Formats: sequence, structure tokens, C-alpha cells
Amino acid sequence: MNPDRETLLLWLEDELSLDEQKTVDAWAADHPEWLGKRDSARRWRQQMGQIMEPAAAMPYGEFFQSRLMRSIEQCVQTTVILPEPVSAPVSSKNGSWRKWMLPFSVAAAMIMGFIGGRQWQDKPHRSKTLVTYTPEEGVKAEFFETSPAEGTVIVLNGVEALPDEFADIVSAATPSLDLRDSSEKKHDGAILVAP
Amino acid sequence: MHAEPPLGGAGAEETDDAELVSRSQTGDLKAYDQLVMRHRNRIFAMIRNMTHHEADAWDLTQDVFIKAWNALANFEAKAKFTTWLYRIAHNVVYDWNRKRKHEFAGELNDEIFDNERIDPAAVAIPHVGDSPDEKMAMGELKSKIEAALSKISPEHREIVILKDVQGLAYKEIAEVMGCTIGTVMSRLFYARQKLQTLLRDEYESRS
Repeated sequence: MNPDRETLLLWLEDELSLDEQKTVDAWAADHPEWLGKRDSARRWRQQMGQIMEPAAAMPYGEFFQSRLMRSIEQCVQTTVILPEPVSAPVSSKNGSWRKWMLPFSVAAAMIMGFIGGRQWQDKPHRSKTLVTYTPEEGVKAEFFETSPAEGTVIVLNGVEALPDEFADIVSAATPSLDLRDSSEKKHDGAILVAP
Repeated sequence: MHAEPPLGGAGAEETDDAELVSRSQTGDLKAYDQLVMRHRNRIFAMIRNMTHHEADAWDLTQDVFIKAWNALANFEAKAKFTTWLYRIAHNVVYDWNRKRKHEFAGELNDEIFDNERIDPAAVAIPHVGDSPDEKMAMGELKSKIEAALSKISPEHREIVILKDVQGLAYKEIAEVMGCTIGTVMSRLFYARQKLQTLLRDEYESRS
């Protein structure tokens, strides 16, 4: 009996159970063209597996791992549910006094803030704003310390890729600097700092 | 210091996966660290083959494992962890593709993919071995296949990668891509057919 269409497709991909496989194998013995098709399918899968790499070494694996775990730890910290604040029991007498005083306290605080602000504005003062240096607009800097890798990594997201000629310029200027690995140049967003 | 994970990836380690997953579900970060180490190379390779962009693949692999961590509570032990992870990777790459220019808009229309219309006798298996370039260097061969893969739609590319490179079964691919086995069979059929034509053109243009 001829196997159905789906069974044949599964047979070509070696996905049938052992019993089903035997049944179709017996049928295919009289249909050599199908044995040829299955051999081609097997050869193709084998070649694709060899050529296209089902698993590839992650570049900067240590950094990948530490950055990922740091992000997850931050997620965990921010999603921690804080317990409900327990308010101290207040007597009804104190409570009514506090309720009565509350609007006056708020009003007084606002007036004080307004007067203080005016005085501060009138005086000449130095700016206390922190200035963060970023080499280019839109560049976001992240800093990582990886204890397993014993190194520090600064990631500059948004920096334009360095031109290939840059390595030659740097090599010529600083002969001791080793820029042999061309694969590292691709990740020019990450700067590896020696410990 | 972390030991580099074997490139072979998962496979016989499924039983250990179950234990690591269950520990991770209780918030054990060390167990999750091990899970990531075990699977990152396969997920990275899959995404890199899909995107053809190493730096993007690196970032997207990070996204996959962060999303997996956040969704771990919903993972049911009866499912295979690797298949679940591929499913997340599929979604991440899908979103990435959607944000990019729709080069292949309209090419993939599932309505034309009728499983009943596939004649198994017409199954097209691309081949790269019996050509005048049989002894072509692996690197060159790889770039030919990559070039051909980049010319087919992301859906077709993904199915070829999951089936022929990652070695997933039809049933697993259906779970990853959220479609029926029939659709997977049809898409693979058309994807291989296109790939065969593209590779043949490639060889003919060289000879």
C-alpha cells in the first residue's frame, strides 16, 4: 500500500517512528527514486549543518553573560514588591489635632518655599549642574565591571563605526598597540579596559 | 570564570534543563546563568543566520534571554525548553524585521500555501555537492548559501534555518512559528524550491 503524502514527507526528513519507518522503507525498496530523494535530503541537511553552523561561539561571551545577568538583576530589584507601610496607631484625639493642623502646615511650607526661591533667584550664583561629557549627540554610555573576566567594559551605544583606516593610523602612531584581531574592530562600540 | 559552553548546545542535556528551569523559576539566578551558557551559542547562531548581522544578533540574543527570564513563570515543564526558547527568538526576530524596511512585503501569502497541493514526488531538495564547484572552499560555499538565503523572505529563511541548520522537527517548527505542521511542510517546500533555483543560478553564472 502506498504511504500517504504527509507520511512520505516525514519519511524524507527521517521523522517517522521506528515502526512507520520500517513500513515505508519496505515500500521504498520497490521505488528507488524515493530512496534517491531521501539520500539527497539527508545530504543537504548534513551539508547545511556543516556549512551554516547550528551553534556559533558568542563574541565576547564573558561580557555577554555579565551584561545579561546585570540587566536581569536590575529587573529583579525593580520588581521587588515592597511590604505595605505599617502606620502607627494614632489616638483619635491626636488624629483630629493633626487633621486640623495639616492645611496650615502645607500653606506655611509653600510660603517659605516661595520666599526662599525668590531670594535665591535674586543672588548671583554659580551653576551646580553636573555636566556629562558625551563625544557625540545621542551616545549613551554604559559601564560594566566583570569580575570573572577581570576587566572593565565601557559601552558607547550610538557611536559611529570606526573606519578601517583608523587601525592603521593608530598602529603607525603607537607601534606597541596590537590591533591584529579584525573581528574586534566590528564591535567598536565596546571598549575593553585592562584591569 | 565561566567555562565556554560546548558549541553542540542542547540535545542530551534536556533532563538537566528541566532541573535548571525549575530552579530558575524560583528566582535562582545562578541556575539561569547556566541555562544561558548552555543555549546562547545556538540562539545566537540562529539569529545571526536570520539577520545576517553579527552585532544585531548579539543584542537580539540578549533580548531573547531577558524576555525568557521575564516569562519563565509561564513556562510549563511539559514543553521542551529549547523549543520555547526558539519561539521567543522567533518573536524577537519577527519584531526586528517588522521595524526594518518591508523588502519582502507581499511575497509570502499563506493563502497560496495549500498543503494538499504539494506533490511529494515534486519535492525539491537543493544540492551543493554535485556541481563543477564541488571542491569549493567551505567559506565560499557558505557565502553563496547566505546570499541565496538573503534573497528569500524572512519566513522562508527561518524555516530553512530551523529545519536544515538547527535540525528541528516539523512539529517543533510548528510550535516555534505558531502554525500548523501542514503550513510548515508547505513553506519548507517552497523555500527549498526557491533556494534550489537561486543556488543553480549562482553556479550557472560562475561556470
